[in-house]
Amino acid sequence: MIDHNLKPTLLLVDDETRITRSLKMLFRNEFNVLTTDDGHEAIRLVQAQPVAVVISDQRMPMMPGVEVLRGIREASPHTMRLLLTGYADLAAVIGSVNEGEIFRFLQKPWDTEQIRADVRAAAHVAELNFTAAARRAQSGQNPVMAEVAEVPEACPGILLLDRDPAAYELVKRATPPNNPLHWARNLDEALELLSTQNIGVLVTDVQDGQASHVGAIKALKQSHPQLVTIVLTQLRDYELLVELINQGQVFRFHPKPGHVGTFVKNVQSALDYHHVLQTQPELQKRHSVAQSVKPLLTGLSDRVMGYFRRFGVSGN
Amino acid sequence: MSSPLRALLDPVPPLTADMSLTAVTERFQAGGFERMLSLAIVDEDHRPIGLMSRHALMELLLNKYSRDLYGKRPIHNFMNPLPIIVSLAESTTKVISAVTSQIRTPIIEDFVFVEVDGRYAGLGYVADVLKLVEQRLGQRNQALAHANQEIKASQAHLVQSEKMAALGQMVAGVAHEINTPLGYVGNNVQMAEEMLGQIHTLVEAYDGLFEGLLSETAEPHDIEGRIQTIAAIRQDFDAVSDLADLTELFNDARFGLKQISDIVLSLKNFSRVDRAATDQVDLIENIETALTVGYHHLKNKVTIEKRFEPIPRVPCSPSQINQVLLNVMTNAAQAIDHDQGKLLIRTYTRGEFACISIEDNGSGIPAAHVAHIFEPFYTTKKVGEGTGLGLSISYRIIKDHGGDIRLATKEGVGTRFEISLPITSPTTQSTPDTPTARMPSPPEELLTDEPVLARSA
Ligand SMILES: Nc1ncnc2c1ncn2[C@@H]1O[C@H](COP(=O)(O)OP(=O)(O)OP(=O)(O)O)[C@@H](O)[C@H]1O
Ligand SMILES: [Mg+2]
Repeated sequence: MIDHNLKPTLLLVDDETRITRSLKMLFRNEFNVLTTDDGHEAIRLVQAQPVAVVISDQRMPMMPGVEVLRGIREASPHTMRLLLTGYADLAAVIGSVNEGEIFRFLQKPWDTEQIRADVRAAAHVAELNFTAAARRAQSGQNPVMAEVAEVPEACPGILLLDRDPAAYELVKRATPPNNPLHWARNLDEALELLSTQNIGVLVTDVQDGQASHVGAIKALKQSHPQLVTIVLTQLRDYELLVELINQGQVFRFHPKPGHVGTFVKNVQSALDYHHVLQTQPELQKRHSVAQSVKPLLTGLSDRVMGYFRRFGVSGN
Repeated sequence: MSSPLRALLDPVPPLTADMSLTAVTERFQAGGFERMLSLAIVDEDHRPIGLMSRHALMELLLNKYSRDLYGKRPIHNFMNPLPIIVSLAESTTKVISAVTSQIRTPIIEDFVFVEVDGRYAGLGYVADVLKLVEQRLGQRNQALAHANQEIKASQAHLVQSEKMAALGQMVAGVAHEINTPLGYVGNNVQMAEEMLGQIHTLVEAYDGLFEGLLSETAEPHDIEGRIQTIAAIRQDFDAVSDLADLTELFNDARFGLKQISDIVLSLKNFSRVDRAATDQVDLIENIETALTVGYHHLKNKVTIEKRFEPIPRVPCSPSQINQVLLNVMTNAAQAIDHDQGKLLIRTYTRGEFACISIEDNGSGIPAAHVAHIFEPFYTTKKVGEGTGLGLSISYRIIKDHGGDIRLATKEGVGTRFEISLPITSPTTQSTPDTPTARMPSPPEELLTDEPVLARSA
């Protein structure tokens, strides 16, 4: 569990030390910052201590960023992962979502305010994750059962937004028996279902004929922050994906038709993630960084005045 | 029915098989078909059965008594029973080939046209067919010339599109190279600005304290307040150590800006429009430029060793040579799939040639592939990764410079490409551009003068 009186840890991975130096300076007030240029080292670091957030470059000599993030995800699943890259191909973007489960896809050169906001948000989610994990660990051998008992209505629905019957078949196979599956053929139906049903996971295509769901995916994430989105599509568009990751917080990108087994796993982890968001809503409000409150110096003026007087600088 | 055939047809009335030699002779003398060398003979069904030529008739009649001897005999005894017969239903091409293949020289006969049903239609003049052939050849020549022109144009287009593809790859890499320094330079400037704000506040607070201390009227609690303000600011901002950091931020920013301007400069060099078609070019400078531009492909994978012997300037188009160098270096880097990658780049002169050798310790090329690698579109790379044009374009460029590009390779060991360019103007000693010249020299030839780098070396 993270000690909330300590600064959370931020790990920077980049082969250009000027990048890590620059970012370290940006974040050192809020975070305990670690840096490395080596992906293997990065993975060792997250095993040795709780790391809230990692920012990795994509193009690096030893190990590409997506692999570093995948390794970190396996070693420390609660560490929030951000990819920061000067240029990335589509494969890297998709890999970063699905394998790296990244929180944000950042591009060089970055906007200082934006990266601050993103890293803070990541730290916030990390805290949430670490806390939930600690809680699960405390509540015994079978954490899932324990939590189900805790929250009786822990079987949220899955909503599919796609008129493609093949997609419905796929989602049906992936939906656990206790979770209801709702099928919306268009956005209006989806909105209707979202307002009347308890929906935890949204599975959606990004496009429906001419209509794009991108705006809707982003808006839904804002109005339903606990909704976990899986994008199921044939579309391959770099800019669109980055947008969906950063503004829609897409949890998984599943190519159509794709692999059923993978999809089943994707749905399960989406439900798990929703559960974390669902069961600890109070965590969402709390900010990860507490301002330190050391007492200010007291009774100074007399000392200082005395000092100056000795030198005869001021009055009598 | 094809009109060009109709144009060849002369519907001269035919002879009948039972007409006497004398009657036929009179028909020839009566004239009216002067263009024709012969007359056709048809049966009762109007089907052609033979041909009687002016020439054959003359030969007969030259014999003093033949008119008396044979005059009454029917013409079918004297005719050529196997004339060339073509159908009006045939294509012009078929007719041309039928006529030209059966033609006998000297040309003494015409050929016979029949209708679709096989009945006699008229005669054709062999010379007309020949004229048609000539005309067609002319057209074909024109088409060939046109095709040739198109091939040349599309070759130029290929060069261009390869350039664009290489450019696209390069832009991706260069974007990364530039975006990285841009990232930290921008961040550092932003932080410096923020820090300047804090410094400003702090200096203002210090100033306030200073004023207060100097002031005759200042109350102690007033001074206390000002000190508290400074203490509060200092809480968040450690001016001394932060100012030291600021120096570092500026150092890095300066470094980054220098890096960006270096990249931009080498891009400018790389793509510069050559002043003359051929400049006197320092190839070593070109190698350095190509290395800077191609750095993103190389830096993460390979260590680069340069062994440059001085070489004279050579007349060439530097941007084209850059294109070749970048291609060959990129190929070398792409052939390396282990993390001990090495690239040895050498320059030397050999006879009248300045040479650049680029040697990698990558996969090598299987013997069966070596003969193909200079072919356009030959690639072993994944779809979308390689166009397979790199080496064919490079080959073209080097040949156009009167130079040569050869290789030596060993599977699992590495590959060496050698580019040689003539030191004096290439116009006088252009190497022949024949398919045999395309064949790279066998590995031994190059391998003997120095072994290819060992992988683990
Ligand atoms: N240094 C090398 N080592 C091993 N194989 C090579 C090397 N250079 C070229 N090749 C082989 O020759 C093929 C053709 O090279 P070429 O440069 O013409 O095309 P490409 O590299 O595949 O595509 P492009 O250059 O358009 O990206 C390559 O696909 C590769 O198989
Ligand atoms: Mg190539």
